[in-house]
Amino acid sequence: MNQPEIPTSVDGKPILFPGGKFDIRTRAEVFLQDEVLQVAVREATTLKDQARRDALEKAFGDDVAEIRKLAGAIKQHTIDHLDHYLEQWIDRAEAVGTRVHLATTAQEANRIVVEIAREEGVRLCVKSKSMVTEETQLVPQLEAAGIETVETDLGEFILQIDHDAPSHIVMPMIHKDRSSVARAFERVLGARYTEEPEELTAIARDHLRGKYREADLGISGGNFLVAESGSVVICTNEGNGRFCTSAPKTHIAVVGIEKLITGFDDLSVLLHLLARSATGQPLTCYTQILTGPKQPQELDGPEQMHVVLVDAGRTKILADPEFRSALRCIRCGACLNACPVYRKVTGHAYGSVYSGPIGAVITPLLSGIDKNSTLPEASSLCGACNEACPVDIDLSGLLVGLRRKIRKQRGSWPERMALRLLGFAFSHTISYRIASKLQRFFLLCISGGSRTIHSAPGPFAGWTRDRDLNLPARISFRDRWARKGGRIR
Amino acid sequence: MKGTSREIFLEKVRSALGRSGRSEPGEFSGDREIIRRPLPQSSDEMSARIGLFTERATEVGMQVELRDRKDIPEFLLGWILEQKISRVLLGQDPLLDSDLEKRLQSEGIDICKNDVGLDQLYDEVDCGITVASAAVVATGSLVLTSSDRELRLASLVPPRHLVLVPVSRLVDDLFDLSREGGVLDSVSPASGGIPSCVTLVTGPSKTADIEGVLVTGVHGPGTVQIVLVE
Amino acid sequence: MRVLLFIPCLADQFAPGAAEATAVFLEHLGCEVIYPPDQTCCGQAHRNSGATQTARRLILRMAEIFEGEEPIVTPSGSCAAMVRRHAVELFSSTEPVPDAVRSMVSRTHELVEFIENELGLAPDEIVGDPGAAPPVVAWHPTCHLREIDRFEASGRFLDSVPGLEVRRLRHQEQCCGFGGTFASKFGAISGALAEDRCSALVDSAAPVLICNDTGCTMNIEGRLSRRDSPIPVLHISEWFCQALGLSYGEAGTDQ
Repeated sequence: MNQPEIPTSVDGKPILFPGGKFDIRTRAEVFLQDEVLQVAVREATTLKDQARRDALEKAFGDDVAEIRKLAGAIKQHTIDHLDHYLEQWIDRAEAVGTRVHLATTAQEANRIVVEIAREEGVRLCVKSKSMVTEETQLVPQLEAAGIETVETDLGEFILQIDHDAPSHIVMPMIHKDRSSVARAFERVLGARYTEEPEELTAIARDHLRGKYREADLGISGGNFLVAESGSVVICTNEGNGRFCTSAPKTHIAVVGIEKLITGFDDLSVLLHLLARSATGQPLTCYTQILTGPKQPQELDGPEQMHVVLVDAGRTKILADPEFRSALRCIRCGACLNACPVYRKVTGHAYGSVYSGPIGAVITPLLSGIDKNSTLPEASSLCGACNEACPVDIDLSGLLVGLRRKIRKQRGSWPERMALRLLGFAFSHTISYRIASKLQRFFLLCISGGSRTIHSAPGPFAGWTRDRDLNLPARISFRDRWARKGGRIR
Repeated sequence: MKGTSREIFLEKVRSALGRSGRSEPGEFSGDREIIRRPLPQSSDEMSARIGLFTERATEVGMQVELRDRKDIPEFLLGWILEQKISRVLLGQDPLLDSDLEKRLQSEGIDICKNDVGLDQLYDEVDCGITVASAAVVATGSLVLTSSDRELRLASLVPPRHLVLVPVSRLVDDLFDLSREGGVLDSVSPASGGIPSCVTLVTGPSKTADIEGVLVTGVHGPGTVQIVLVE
Repeated sequence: MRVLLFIPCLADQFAPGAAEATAVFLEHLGCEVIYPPDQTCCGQAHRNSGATQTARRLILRMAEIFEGEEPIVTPSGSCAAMVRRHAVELFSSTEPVPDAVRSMVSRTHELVEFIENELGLAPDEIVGDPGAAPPVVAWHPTCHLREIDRFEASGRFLDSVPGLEVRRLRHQEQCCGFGGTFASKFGAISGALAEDRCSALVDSAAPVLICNDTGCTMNIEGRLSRRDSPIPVLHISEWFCQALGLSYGEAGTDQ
């Protein structure tokens, strides 16, 4: 029985599953100081963000906004009728020979996969990238059952052998540099030390090709579930996804229920947007549309195809009309690349499988608002994510909605008090005038009479850590206006 | 079926949506075709299609040549020799006929067919030669389908992939793949269902996982040579 | 035409000179500028923090103060966005949207938007050359203008000013980090973003930054001060007043 080491972060807690109440600031403080990490993540995200904009403009010109709205409406329609389309998908999938299994919880999903693997006598499993299996923590369960499980996506493979965790939905190791890869390959694979990406990739390729040949089972995720045909669609770039779904005799796809779309017309729209939003490519190198196991006349392919559909809290999000649109997400990562906060704190700071703006929305909804209340708060609401999202999710609106829930449930009392006071001050002209005088007086006290504050106490210490604060003007605009008899000059 | 029963699972979804029984969604009202881009104006639509496909496929890193059917064996031979390929896997297709096979063999190229052993496939075959079911102009993609003629692995395992596409199989957009007669058309009676695996190939295998440096030929082929056949 | 001037609470307190410049500028462009003196705040900070009841109360109060037919003009993009994009949704789920609020939403314009769309003026119809204003500026776009589709707009407006060179900053689409309470609550992250903006400004070698939002200005000025890069930050209306030779602000009272 292998008990794999769970990768931990700078706070000593598991990277993606810290447990308990989590504060994004703890890890962010450390990552903000890491110059190498800052440069790597800034470059990766700004490049991809620009590539997205360039690709969409090149392909669709002035129609981009309208197309994003269309894609959003397509996904919304589907999730608003998820019961119907899910049932249709199950019927059609079973009709073409796919074995469908339904997992209400993460644990159930893992149990189903392990059971299938055991029944098939699986000893070696090759796996391609799947966010939902990160969520359920499938791989440790398979390994605990004695099944060697190899991640085949280059980034995920490196993270696996180096006891690390993904930090981005699409580019899992943007936080890692080549020297850590070189050391890991030397240590774990016995490879000659090299830092050249081409050579490192070749080492991984050779190692993994051996695994494809021997594997009894291939596990994948799924980007889309097509209701009209009972198909699973998988979008990849390296080719490992194709190996995992074509070489072994059994294939299991583990897919969240929100991946449903109604038919191939929907697929066409969303495919046009997915890769362009993620990396600027028109499509990923490989888009596989899988409809059942190998047919009798076909020459190769898996004898058995299983699909495990996963709920794991998605019906909870579905049930709340205010947050339901979060399920539109097609996991393109565009919001991460656009987000100034993600760029600075980097993926592991979120303490969750899903980071960036979408992570800040769905992590509290899936894992509890109380435990993750800093995630929706850690945003300047700049709206870059809204503009980046190909399915038109109002992410910053959802963050504000979560802040409302937080405020109701357990907002810290000093902040609630401050907001109340501020609200009172704004409610009447007189209270406003008094409050503004008091504020100036209070700030003067802090500044010791000078017009600039260099260090403020309490809640304002966050500001003065890196910035000064100038005092308000001696005479406010309203007072000047009044003085001049209600005129400008 | 393992796990939760279908009734309970669907009931959970239904009650989340505030429904008590089954529902009919009604037609989606948006116009998906707004995403379709028109071909550039041209008196010769086929030329325009070929030109645009070539441009797009090249942009994503594939090589494209246009040849008459009768010139295929000559081209293939020349390319194989130039690439220093010594063993190919030939799919079964009218375009890859016995004449071609003989020509290649006479130049000392080893031919494997669909019954190739796995060891040989992984270790010795330099290039898989297949025929595409379609190609999409809008994205510069090839469409490969699982069948009784070609191995799925033929276009995946060998480090190079050469693929023939009759120009009549060029379609404008992804939508067209599910229109009547398309590979994803499951509705028309003639269709007989969809193949188990339809793969759109839009470039050679690639990754940029290590510090954003682009590396091609990661697991799938690093070289994709397309031959459009007139 | 008569316009109602909406001055954000932050500008009223921390940047009254810029608010004055806005009023002076609008008057110069031929508007009769009315400033309803009871105005306080649009409720943005409360809405953003999830204190929706208070935000609702504040926006309704403002709507009643700004009742009428005249266009409402604000020099702050974030306040314009708050009114135009978020005021209605504060009500819709709990009660019918009051007419006064709907009216305010339909009449509120950001300053440059107002000049372009309502006054129909192009920059070269306003000014022939930079005059006494700096002929080289850097420009900072305010994030919230995304919400009313005006993110690039004031930069493009400045581009058309004859004789003015407008430098764009590296990573200009990346938020400067203000975000209201975010700046204090998440000070380390906010400060790092402010530093990015300031170092880009310094690297641009522009002598002055045009920034149209008081929050952004306080944030950027605060960081510039801390790192000893004393580059002045101007509101676009201050630049135009300088170019037109119009005086605004009161010496000695701005601080």
